[in-house]
Amino acid sequence: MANASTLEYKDCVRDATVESFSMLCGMEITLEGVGTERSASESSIVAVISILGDVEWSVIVNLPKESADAIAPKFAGFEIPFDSEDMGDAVGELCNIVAGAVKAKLDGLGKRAEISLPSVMRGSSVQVLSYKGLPIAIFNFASECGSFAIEVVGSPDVVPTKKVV
Amino acid sequence: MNIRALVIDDSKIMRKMVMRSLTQTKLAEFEFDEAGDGVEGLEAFHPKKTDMIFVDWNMPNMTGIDFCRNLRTTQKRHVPIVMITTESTMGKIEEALDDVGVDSYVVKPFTPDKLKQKLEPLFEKLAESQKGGFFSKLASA
Repeated sequence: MANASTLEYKDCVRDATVESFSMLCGMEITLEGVGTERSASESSIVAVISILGDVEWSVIVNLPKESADAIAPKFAGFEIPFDSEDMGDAVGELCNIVAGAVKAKLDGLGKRAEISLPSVMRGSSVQVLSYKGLPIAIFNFASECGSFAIEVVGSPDVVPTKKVV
Repeated sequence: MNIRALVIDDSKIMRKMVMRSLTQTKLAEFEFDEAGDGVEGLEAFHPKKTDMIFVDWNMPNMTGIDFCRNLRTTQKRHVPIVMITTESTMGKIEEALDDVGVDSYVVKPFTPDKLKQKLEPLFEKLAESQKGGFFSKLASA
């Protein structure tokens, strides 16, 4: 079986995110770039899902507070306080849907995998620390509701391939 | 048509979205019961009053698939089940529809229009069964 190219993996994540936000929140988002440096945020909420099988990835949705405050009501249909349990629920489900869409696109590339339930964390200066030696790709998106990032940590095929040190 | 629907999803936000979207389809006048996983779903299910079930796949304690298997083996009356989930591969869809007896399958995310399009055939059959058609024949088989 031919291996998917790193460009195809990158397209999986980009397209899954764009389509999910469009359908779920009625939002147009644009990929501004893919890098390896995480930008600091005073307050943010982070959701993580594992995708395990032919690829081994952690898919992380990282929303600064301002973006979460604007995006969550579009998804939920009502205002959600940042510090509430509902916000955790909303971001966890958002991550679930993005990861599900990524999984579906990986399936189209012949890569089979299962996804976990999401874990959600919220706080000030939240820093996601990845296991040393694993490649990381941070997809930075912009939207009318603010910027956010989708991070993929894991298999060597994810681009770019700067390893966490 | 009045429908008492049981909505099962571990996300309260998603349950609200499903209920809101169903109401917007105007396929029926809905009354809703909710549950947060398959175990709660079995407790919330009413053998005589629940008309339709909308269930997620990946949930803690008991998955949607296991809930469906359990219900189909313990209940004689065929209650229509719609799976609403991020699982979208053919293998999963076949497992739900063919192996477990799910009646319809909707992939998240969805719009109310897409939901309506997917559910219209099922509601037509349900309306017919309430006049003594498809599902009542299954129930008595």
